[in-house]
Amino acid sequence: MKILLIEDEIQLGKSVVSFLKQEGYICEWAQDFSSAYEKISVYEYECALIDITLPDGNGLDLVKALKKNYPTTGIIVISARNSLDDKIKGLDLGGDDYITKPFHLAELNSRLKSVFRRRNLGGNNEIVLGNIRLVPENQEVFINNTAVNLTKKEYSLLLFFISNKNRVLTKESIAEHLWGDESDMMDSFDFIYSHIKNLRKKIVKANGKDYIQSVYGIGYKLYTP
Amino acid sequence: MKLLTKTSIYYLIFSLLLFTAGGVIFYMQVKGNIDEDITEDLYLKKDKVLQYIKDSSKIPPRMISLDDEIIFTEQSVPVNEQLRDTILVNHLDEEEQRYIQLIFPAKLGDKYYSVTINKAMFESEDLIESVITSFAVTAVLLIISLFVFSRLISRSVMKPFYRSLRAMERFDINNNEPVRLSPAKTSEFKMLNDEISKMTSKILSDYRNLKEFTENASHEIQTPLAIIRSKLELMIQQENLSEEQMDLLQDIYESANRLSRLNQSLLLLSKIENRQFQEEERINLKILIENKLSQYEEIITYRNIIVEKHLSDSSHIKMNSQLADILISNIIGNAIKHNINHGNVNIELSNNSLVVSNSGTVSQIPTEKLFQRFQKANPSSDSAGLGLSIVKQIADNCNLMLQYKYFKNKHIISINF
Repeated sequence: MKILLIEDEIQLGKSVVSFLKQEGYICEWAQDFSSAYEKISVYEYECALIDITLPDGNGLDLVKALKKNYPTTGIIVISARNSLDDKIKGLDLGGDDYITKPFHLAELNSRLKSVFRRRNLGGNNEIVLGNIRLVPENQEVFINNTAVNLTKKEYSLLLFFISNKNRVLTKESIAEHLWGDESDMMDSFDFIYSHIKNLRKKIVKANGKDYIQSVYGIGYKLYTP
Repeated sequence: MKLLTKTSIYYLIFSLLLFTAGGVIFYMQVKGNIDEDITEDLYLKKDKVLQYIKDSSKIPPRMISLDDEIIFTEQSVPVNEQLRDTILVNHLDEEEQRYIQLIFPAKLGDKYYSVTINKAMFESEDLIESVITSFAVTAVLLIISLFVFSRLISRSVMKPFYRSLRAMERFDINNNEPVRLSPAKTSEFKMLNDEISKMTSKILSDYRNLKEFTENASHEIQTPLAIIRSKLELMIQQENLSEEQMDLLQDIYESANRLSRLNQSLLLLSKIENRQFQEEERINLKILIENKLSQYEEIITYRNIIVEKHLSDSSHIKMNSQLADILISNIIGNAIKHNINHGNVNIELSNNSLVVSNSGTVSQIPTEKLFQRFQKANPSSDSAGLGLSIVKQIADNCNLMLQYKYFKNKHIISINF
């Protein structure tokens, strides 16, 4: 899948590109407005990650142009934190999702996957991992075809893990994914630990396979061989 | 004490002293003149008496007028001429009175006489009296007119001063508006206004620079921090890291996150300070609070905190929705964060106030410092100690009354709107 990253900060761009390549995406990177504009007029991408603040133009104009040329391209708007206006405008213009800087790469990955899922309207949207099956439209989880009752947060935790399978998720990125701006409050390791423990208990109880491993000191990883 | 009252008192004391001195001098002067006149008169009389004796060769008859008399006394030897000031009993009203007395010798044939001319000084007492009266009347009139006049004058003369004073009272550093002073014509006030203008614009520009510095610094730190974080996240994904390396990475990662949060808070603070959250809307606080509570639901359950709430349906506030969100989020978040396990949180929302109280140990921070930046109860804690200063900043910007107290083992924070 081809992704276009529009980001003027070189080191940050490098990290994102390297991360997305690891995930198996083909990633192109435009560092300014004009080269981004050129790229989106010529090529078609599955998804574009657009930083709003660019040195030579406003990313929102790119959102507009993209929407006009290739309406099926998924768009994730990257904006600075606390600039609600940019978020709203970005989404109004046809962005699929937004993410605020600074973001965790795992978070970006999970947003990206959710955009792909939503874009893939015709296809099967279910996510399957071994005997665990997630139905995103209804936020339902089935293990061995039996519905498992998960809380909203547990569901989104499981989805976060599956979206980032075989990747180490730091407890900070987990907290931020689940509680967003309020995550400051939640980053005590004990709390995240107990939350994940509950999720694993429910999966095991329903005879699902527990793929989640704790990674020494740092966080957790959903490991599939 | 008012400037006018103070100067008036000085004027009063000074003019009283001046009038007293003036009165004394005036009295002495007048008395001297009168005495001189009388003395001259006495000598004139003496000449007349001697002339009379010489011309007529007899003693003139004893003369008594209202204020003077001439007495002839026979002597064996001639007396020495003398002029003196004396007190005699007045034969008219039997009262002691001041006289000026001239005694001189006269010779008729071979007899010697001493001639005494007494001149009563009726005027003297009257003089003092009239001097005091006239001076007192003048003084009183002068002082009264001075008072009235200075009051009238100061009202118009001091007008620019009071205007400047009021302008300075209205000066608010956060408004970023220089003091507007109306031009003064008096040179002192002109100087004062110039200095005030200079000083306040200096204060404003210093304050602005400082704010800009904080803002720019936070802004510039943001990107390198994001880079550090993203690189660390990539590094953490590597398969062959030793436990030791993981430990190091974890510590770096945590510190980077902490710095990032701190930076976010500082940026937020300067954004609020710079009033970058403008659009206001009517916000139903009950919905907002319920919403926040559900976001904190898991941690509330995890810490076994009991939440009691009495929320009025019709409690609305007109403010920026983001700020309202941050405000409520921080207040409720604090009540949970600085709570004890199995503690409680009480939220009372009425139509014009919100009171959130929570159980907790007494704060190590003095109450008056609680809203200042970087104040935290536990120095080793991860939090930057900016939560309450953000709350305070929002309250200040939105004209909300914010209060904190610790009462019966409860932290109580209240907002009136």
